Amino acid sequence: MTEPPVSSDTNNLQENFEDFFEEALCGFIIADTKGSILKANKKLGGWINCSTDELKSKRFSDLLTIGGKIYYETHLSPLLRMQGFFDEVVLELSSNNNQKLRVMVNALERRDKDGKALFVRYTILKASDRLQYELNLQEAKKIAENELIKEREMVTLREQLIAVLGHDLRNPLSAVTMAVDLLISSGKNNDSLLGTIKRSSSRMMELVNNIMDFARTRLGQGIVLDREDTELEPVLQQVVTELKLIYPKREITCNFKITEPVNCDSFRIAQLVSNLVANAITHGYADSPVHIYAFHNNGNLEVSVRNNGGPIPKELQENIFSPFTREIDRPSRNGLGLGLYISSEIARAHNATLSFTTTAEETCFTFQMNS
Amino acid sequence: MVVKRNNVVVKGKGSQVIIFAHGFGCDQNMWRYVAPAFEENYKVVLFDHVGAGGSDLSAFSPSKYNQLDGYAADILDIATELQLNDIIYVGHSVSALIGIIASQKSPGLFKSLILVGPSPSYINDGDYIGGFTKSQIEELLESLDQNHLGWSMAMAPVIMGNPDRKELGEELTNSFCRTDPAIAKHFARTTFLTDERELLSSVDIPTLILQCSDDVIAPQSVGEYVHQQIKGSKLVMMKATGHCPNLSAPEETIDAIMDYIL
Repeated sequence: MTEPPVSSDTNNLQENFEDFFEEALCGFIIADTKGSILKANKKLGGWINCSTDELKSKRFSDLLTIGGKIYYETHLSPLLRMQGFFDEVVLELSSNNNQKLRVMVNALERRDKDGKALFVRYTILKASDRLQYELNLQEAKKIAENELIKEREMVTLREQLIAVLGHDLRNPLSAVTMAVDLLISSGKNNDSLLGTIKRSSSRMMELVNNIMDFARTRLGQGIVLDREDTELEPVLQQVVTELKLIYPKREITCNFKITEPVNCDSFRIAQLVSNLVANAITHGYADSPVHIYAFHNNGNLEVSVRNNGGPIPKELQENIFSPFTREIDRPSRNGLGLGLYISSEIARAHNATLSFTTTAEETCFTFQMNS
Repeated sequence: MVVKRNNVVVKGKGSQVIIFAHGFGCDQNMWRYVAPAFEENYKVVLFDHVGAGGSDLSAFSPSKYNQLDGYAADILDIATELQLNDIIYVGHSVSALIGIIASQKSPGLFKSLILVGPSPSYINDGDYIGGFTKSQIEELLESLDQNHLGWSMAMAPVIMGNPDRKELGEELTNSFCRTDPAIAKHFARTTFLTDERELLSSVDIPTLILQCSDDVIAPQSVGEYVHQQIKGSKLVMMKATGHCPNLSAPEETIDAIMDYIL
C-alpha cells in the first residue's frame, strides 16, 4: 500500500490525477448524501488496513471509533447539513485490526445551483503527533496554572506578612520612643523603663532577624551555619537570662547536662531555644512554668522545652512548621508565624530534627541532633 | 426567565400549539427546515435545552440534569410560562424520551407525541437490542472523560473563518449547534446511560414514531420496540438515513408529521 505505483509512463506521473488522488499525502473520501462511501483513496485504505473496495460498502461513520461515531451522527452530520462543511475536526479512525488512528477531518457537502446536496468530500489528515503536542501543551498549561495559583497564594501571604510586620514593629517601637522620652524628661535612671526598652528592642530585633532569615531561606540559600565545637551550657544559660529579663514574672527552670563541647552553630542554637521558650511563654498558661532540658550523650544532643498551655489545635498541628502558621483566633499573640519555621530550618541545617508532642497536660518541643 | 433560560422562540399564525424539541448534539436550529412548514397553521414553539444554543448556561446544574427529568421539568416550565395546553410535542432523539417523561408528569397537557428516532435505552440487554454493547458505551464515556475526541471542541471555532458562505447570515453562522463542551459531556452521559424502557407502556396519548433507515444511534429494532410498547402507536419507517431526518430529509419528515396530526 505504501509502495508508489509502478507506471509504464513515470514521466507523466506528475500530470496524472488518478495517481494524485490515490497517492496523495492525505486520505480522500467521496460519499453520497446519505454518508455511504462512493470512492476512497488507497492512502486512506492503507492507514486503516482496508482495501478501497471494502471501503465502498461502508458509511463514513463506520470508520470511526464509537465515541467518534456518536459524535459524528449527533454533531457533525447535522452541522454538515446545515452549514455545508466542517473543518479541522479531530476524530479517531478504527482500523480493521482495531488500531486507533487519530486524524483531523475536513468535509464539504457539494451542492448544486439550487442548494441541493450532491455528494460529500472528506479530507483526512494524520494528526497523532500534532494532537500529542496539543495534549502536552494542555498539560503544560495546567501545570502553569497551578503554579500561578500557588504564587498568588504566596503573594497574599507576603502581603499579610508586611501588614503584620508593620503592626508588630509599631507597638514596641512606640514603647521605646515613649520610654526614652520619659527617661529624658525625668533626668534619672529608671530600671522599669530600661526593662521596657530592652524588651521592646529585643522583640524588634527578633522580628527583623526572622524576616531576614525567612527571606534567605526563601531565596534558596537556607540557613548558613558557622559550626564549631562549643561549650553549649553557658550559651543556653545566657538565653534563659535574657528571657528572664524580658519576662520577669514567668518561671523558667533549667536542667542541663552537657559535659563535652558540641559541634554546632551556637548562635543559631541559641536562636532556636529562644524561639521555643518565647513560644512556650506566649502560648502557655501564665502560671505554668517553662522547663528546659538539655542533655548530651555520646555525641547526641537533645534539647526540649516543655510547658502547659492546652493542646495545640489539630488544624494548626499539620502545618505548624510552615511559615505564617498562626493561631487564627488569637492573632495578637502570634507575631509573624515565622519562629517555628525558622527553628525547623535551623534544625534542618544541623541535620537535626525538631518535633513536638501536645496534650491537655503538656506541650513539648524537642530538638534532637545525632553525631 | 424561563423564556431566556431555554431561549424560547414562538412563531406561527395558528392557535394549535406544536413544540419542537431538539436532541443531543444540536439546538433548535435542528428544526430549521421543518418548523417553518407549520407556521401557517400552528403556533410553533422552539427552544434550546440548557447548555445548547442560546440557552442560559448559568442555569445549568449537574444534579438537576443528571436525569432526563431535569430536562422534562424545563419543558413543563415553558408550557406553564407561555400558558400552553393541548400540545403536539415533537421530540428528536433523546428529547423523544424527555417528552414522554414530561407528558407523564403533567397528564392532559399533551395532545399527542411525535417521536423522531426515539430510544428508551442505548445498551443491548438480553432480547433488547439498543444498538450498543455495554463496552461500547463504556468506551464512549471514557472518550468523553479523556476528551481526546472533539467533544471538547466548542462548535463556534469550527464555524468561524467562514467568510464566503454569505447565504448564511452572520448571526446564524455562529449559532449552529453551539453546545457548551462541559455540559455536552454531561448531557451525553445522561443520555447514553438512560434506561426508560419501563416508562413506555404507560404512554396513553396518540403517539407517532418516525424511524430512519440506517440509524446507528437508534436502530430499527429500537423503533419497533417503542412501537410495541406504546399501545396504539403508529410507526412510520422513513427512507431518510442517519439519525437526523429533520435535516437530511425535511420534506419526508414534514409530510409524516402533517399526515399524522391533520
